[in-house]
Amino acid sequence: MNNAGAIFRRTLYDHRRSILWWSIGIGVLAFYVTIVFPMIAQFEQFNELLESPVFSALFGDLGELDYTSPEGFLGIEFFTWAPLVLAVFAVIFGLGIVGAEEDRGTLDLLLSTPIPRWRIIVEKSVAFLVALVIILAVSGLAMVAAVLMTPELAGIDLGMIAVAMVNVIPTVLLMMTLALWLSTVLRSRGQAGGIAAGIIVASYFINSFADMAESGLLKTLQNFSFYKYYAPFRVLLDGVQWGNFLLLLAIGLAFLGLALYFFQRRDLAV
Amino acid sequence: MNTDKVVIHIDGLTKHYGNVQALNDLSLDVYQGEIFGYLGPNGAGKTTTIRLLLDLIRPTAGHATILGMDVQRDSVALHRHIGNLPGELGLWEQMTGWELVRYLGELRGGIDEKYVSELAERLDMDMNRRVRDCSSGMKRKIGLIQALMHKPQVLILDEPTNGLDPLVQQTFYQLMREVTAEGRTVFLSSHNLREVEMICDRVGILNKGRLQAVERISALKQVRFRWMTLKVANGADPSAFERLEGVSDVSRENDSIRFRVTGELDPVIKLAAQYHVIDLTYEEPSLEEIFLEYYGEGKKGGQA
Repeated sequence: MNNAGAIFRRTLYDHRRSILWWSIGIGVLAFYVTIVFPMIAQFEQFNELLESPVFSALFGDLGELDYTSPEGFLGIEFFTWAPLVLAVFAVIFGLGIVGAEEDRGTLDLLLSTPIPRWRIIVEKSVAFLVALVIILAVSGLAMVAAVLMTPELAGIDLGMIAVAMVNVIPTVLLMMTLALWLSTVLRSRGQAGGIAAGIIVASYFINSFADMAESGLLKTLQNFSFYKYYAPFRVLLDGVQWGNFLLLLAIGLAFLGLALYFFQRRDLAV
Repeated sequence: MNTDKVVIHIDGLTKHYGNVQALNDLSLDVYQGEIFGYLGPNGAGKTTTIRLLLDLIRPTAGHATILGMDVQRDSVALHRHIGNLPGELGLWEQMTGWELVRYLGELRGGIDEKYVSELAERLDMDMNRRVRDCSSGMKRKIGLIQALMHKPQVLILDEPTNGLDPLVQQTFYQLMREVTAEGRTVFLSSHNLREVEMICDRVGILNKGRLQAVERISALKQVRFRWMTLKVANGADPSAFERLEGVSDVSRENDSIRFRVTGELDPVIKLAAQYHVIDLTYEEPSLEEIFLEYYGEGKKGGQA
């Protein structure tokens, strides 16, 4: 296989501007959220607010977490939101892996060369992973810079910021492979994107509503929400929950496997 | 053309989309070193056949081999030896011509840049131009260059001259002759009858997913019919010609009689000899007329 990596390199190159802007966007978010912490922390009543049902419904049950602690604040304000924002990047990328080539008609040319179909999906997925790591690395550096500039945050373990960024990867990867899989099954990219976005948003809200409930349907449904396993609130204190991390990774890879299976078998559109 | 060596072997190839029968029980052999023209109107199943041969879609029934390799099972290995020009050509708009052929070349494990330059020069194509700034004719040229650049044993070209200006078409015909002179094989689809007549060795006529006929171009032209126009002094009696076997569609205009002859010419010549013949013109039917003839038979339910 002397042509390995050609699609991977081309994909990264074609996404260079998108990766740059997403790095800047998420990096600015990380920097901003971190640097405003001292202003928010002055308001003790925030913790009271956190105990209100409305807040729980939006963010989920925080348990023993102190919102006014730097770790708690960043856990909610950055690490809860970051995957939801990155979902846009992930879904668009996932739909594009075969969908964009198919819509443009370039898939016929790609597959006329001596490469198997799976190579397109695998090389582009690896390119996505690299793009995601770049975006998260920039965000991590932005957050570290903000921490170093803010004396009130002196207690934060900088290494845990890196750990928390790594913890985002399986969730966003899963979002990408979900969109990819749906795009290999459904002929319409719009439909696949809509369903993927719906599942991601529903997953988020099912999880946060279920935190309020004691038992019943919501609690059962919560088990199917991947946000339950992402659980970002305490990541800066406790680090990665490996069981959950590996579970999300396995689900993401399962979607990838399904995408490979369906793409291998189906007819390509003209 | 080497009829001992089958390069493309198609056996009972069938493709249905739900109730739509895009291709029905196609069986066909294409020989080494020939240019095989695959002729039919839009929607006849030409592109379906080509996409089945390239394993872009999967057959409902039947199978095909190219160079002895199964088009589905051995597709990756086989694609090393195939050059493909899709009918609906999609290119990466943001790339230049060079970037595009280098990318595809990389996927093929290397590229002969000197040969690409030579092809670009012959087709009068500026490869530094971005695809998005190219006309449809220029895109077609890039498509041709990427199909030819690795000197494949088999070329599968879907409507290759669509959008090319006449001068470039001539270059293309020349390139195809060179390809077959090297013992390589060309399978091209077209709805341009003149083109097929000009460059192909054999033609397969496809309609509504069914192969109507496969003929050598030369045989096809002879086998059917021709038009004769006879100009005679003092006029002639058309009904005398109408009575002859194999003569039909007799019409008269001033001193001329025009009719269609199928089969032997002898009775016509003998009858004509009784008149004072001023002029006799003899037209080979266009492939289009032959084509319509085949369709006519197709409609009657027979398979030519």
